[in-house]
Amino acid sequence: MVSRTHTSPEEPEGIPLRTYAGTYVVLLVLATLSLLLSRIHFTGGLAVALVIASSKAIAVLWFFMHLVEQSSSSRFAVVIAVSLMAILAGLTLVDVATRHTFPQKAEPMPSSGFYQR
Amino acid sequence: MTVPSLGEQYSGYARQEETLRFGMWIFLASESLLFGGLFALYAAYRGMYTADFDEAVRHNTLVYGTVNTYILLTSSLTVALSVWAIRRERARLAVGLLLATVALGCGFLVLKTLEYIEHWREGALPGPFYHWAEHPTFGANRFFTLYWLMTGLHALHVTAGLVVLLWLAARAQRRRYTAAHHTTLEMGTLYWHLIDVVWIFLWPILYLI
Amino acid sequence: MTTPPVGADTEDTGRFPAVELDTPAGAPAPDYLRDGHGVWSWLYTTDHKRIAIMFYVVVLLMLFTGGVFALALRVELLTPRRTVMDAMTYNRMFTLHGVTMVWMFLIPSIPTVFGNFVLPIQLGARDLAFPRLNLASFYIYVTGIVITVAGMLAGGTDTGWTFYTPYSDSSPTRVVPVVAGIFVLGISSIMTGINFIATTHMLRAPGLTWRRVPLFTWAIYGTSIIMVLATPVLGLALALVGIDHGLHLGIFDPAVGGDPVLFQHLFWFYSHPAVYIMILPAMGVISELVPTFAHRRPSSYVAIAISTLGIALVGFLTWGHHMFVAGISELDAVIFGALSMFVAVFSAIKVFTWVATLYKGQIQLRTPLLYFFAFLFLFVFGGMTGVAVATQSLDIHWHDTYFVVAHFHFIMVGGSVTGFLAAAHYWFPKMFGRHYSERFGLLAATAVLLGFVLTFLPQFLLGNMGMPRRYYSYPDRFQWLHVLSTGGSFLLAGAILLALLNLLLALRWGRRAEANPWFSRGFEWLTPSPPPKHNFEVPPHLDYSPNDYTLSEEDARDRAFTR
Repeated sequence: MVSRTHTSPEEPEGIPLRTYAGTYVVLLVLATLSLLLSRIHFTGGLAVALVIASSKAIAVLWFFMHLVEQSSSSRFAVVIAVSLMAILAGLTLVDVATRHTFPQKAEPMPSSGFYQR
Repeated sequence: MTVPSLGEQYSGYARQEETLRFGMWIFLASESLLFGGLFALYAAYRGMYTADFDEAVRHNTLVYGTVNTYILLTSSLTVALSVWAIRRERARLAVGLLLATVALGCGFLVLKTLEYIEHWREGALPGPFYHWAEHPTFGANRFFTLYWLMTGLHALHVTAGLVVLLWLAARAQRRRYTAAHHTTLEMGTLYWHLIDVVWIFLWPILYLI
Repeated sequence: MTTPPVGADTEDTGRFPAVELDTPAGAPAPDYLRDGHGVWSWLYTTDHKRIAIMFYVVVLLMLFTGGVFALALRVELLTPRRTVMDAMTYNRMFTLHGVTMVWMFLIPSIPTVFGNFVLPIQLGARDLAFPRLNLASFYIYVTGIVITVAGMLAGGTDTGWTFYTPYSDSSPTRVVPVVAGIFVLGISSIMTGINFIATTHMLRAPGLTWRRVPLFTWAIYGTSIIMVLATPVLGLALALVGIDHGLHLGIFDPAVGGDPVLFQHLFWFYSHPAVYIMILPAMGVISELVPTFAHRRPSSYVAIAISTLGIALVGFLTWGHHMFVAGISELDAVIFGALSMFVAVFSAIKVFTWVATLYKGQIQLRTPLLYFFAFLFLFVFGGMTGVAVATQSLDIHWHDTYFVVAHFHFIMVGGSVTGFLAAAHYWFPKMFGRHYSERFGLLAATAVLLGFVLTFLPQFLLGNMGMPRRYYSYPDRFQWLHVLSTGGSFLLAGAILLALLNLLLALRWGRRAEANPWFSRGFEWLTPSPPPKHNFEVPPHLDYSPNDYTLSEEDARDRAFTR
């Protein structure tokens, strides 16, 4: 698939200015939304924050990074990288979360707080 | 107007440029896994010390982190617009936008440095150097160790990105990029965007929630 | 680089223009070995074939280095207590053996030598997608070796090649330069992977659809996906160890709330897929030579291609089976154990397909095919014991014993090294334009198999009897098995040297080779032996399968070049 960035001065192709501007506005709005939501403490707050962050990332990837113009192979590279990161974090977290061998409550450190050798 | 050289293995410019772009995306996928390992470490330690992490995030320097977020989002806009400008043969505008991005990036690093100094004064340092008496827990220690590692690696990438941007600006200044051929510029801007995307995830997990 | 004619940037015919040569009209182009003289023409080359040769030299040096460490270990283990070295030296020796063999030999071996040489030609291309990146990857590889060897000469490390925390954080040995060197080697790996993936997607000759891509290229492609995505996590894990060792940040230290098992998660997330980096290329070599020497298409091309991708992707899901006794949760262990079973299915598919390909074929028994038979026996044995140790209930007993050591050597040496030797022989005529002595080739291959079995089969028994790995001294009752193993190791070393000596002598005294000595339909055999610098003077049109033995050689050649 040949990407559509082949331009000439007479007819510029690619993403129009208003799309860049619109994406920027969306990013600002989402960031502000995330900030405001974080001031209210509710269960699932972290999940919501990550969903908003993912939306911002997708906006940057699709428009600022021109994935909308790119080949499916490039898009797939993104998908597979994200999937692997999820697997790495996920299966490690499963281990940690189901071990039941570490204290769940806050525990003070050794009094000096410095590395004992 | 300069025309780039064409590798012997390529049948035409379109093929060469598409290959360069694809190669860059593979590289970005690879770089993101580098951060991915740290995100996994964060997820694990957060799973172990959930309450302590919640507490520690609340006491992180929110203003610095948030201002830096807006800075990086804006820098993503300016650097994306530099490609828009080149596609319309407006090289001088492109140079200006690239330099604006550099300025924003420097602003990010300045704030980061000030922030690090503040953490140092509080005693929120990594590992055995941690001595913030108000939060003497293992979990807070783990949080700040990860904070330093993740933002440190990110700041290293920002610094490298600034070097790349300056190099791109120099080449754009010398009119090496045209509407027809500007793949290297695009590739360089992709690197900067990656830095922004990483920060998009660092901000909520280190400062917000 | 050529200056393209006017209008070239608006026109993409999909076929690169014919090359202008300096030679008089009608004279054949010089081959890549003779095209350009002097050291600088090699050190600054961007020709993938010359870069492959440079990698070949260094990779073989690393094989020898790692082999010397191995022989030293085996000599020490001849007697139950001290034989020739003290315990600390022994610990460093097995660490350096592992580090050298894994990162300086096995991981680069087939991809950087044969992948570099053969893949572009198999795709009908003039070079890789990024030739200068290729050259850079060579120099970065050498740099990584220099840094690691500097660390070794300064005393090396005693942590084992796995660098487990917390010991790696506090070991009094030279951890930092060794992990730094491996980090740099990883960068070289990633660069190679990017190049191969981009080339496979973008530089296929006209007519070469994905369904016609040669199976060796598929294998290198799958390997490259793993290299690109797994290696960064290794880089991170080792960087964290280096930081901990140098700055004592306690990232994995329980005294400040850390968890050492998390290092293992990061390490094995890379290192399990890494074993597929080490075996997939060897499987790719096998997938090339079996159809050639059976003069028959593979029983199922799709099965081999898909199982390659299957191994590459499912291999990322199984790392926890290295950690069954490390203290991970029972649930996590069960998940990893179950996922580990799937990977074996893909390997089995390949084995059955290769064997079925031989059925009713016109077998030419040549040295590469003999290496395939060795591979078949050893890989199947090693692979099955892999499934066995991936079974949690069995691994409890075998973990950290010689059973595991034997298992992975059956795959790494019995699989990857025989694959490497098979490739060295299979593509020797193409790369150097000469024939080696078939008699010595067969003899060496037989000796390799015998030496291997004598070295490593006793180790299964040792492990099952309880002999732990990485132990310097052991109870007297284990000695006879160790003596057998050591005897075998010297036979194996001698056999490998004989095989390589055969090739070395053939460089100078071998009978000249024709373009297609094995009568293969593979695309690389369309070029002269050795190929000219640009591989193809006339761009080929590859619209038939490289395994199509219903076509005669002449017909295949016509289809490729007269369009």
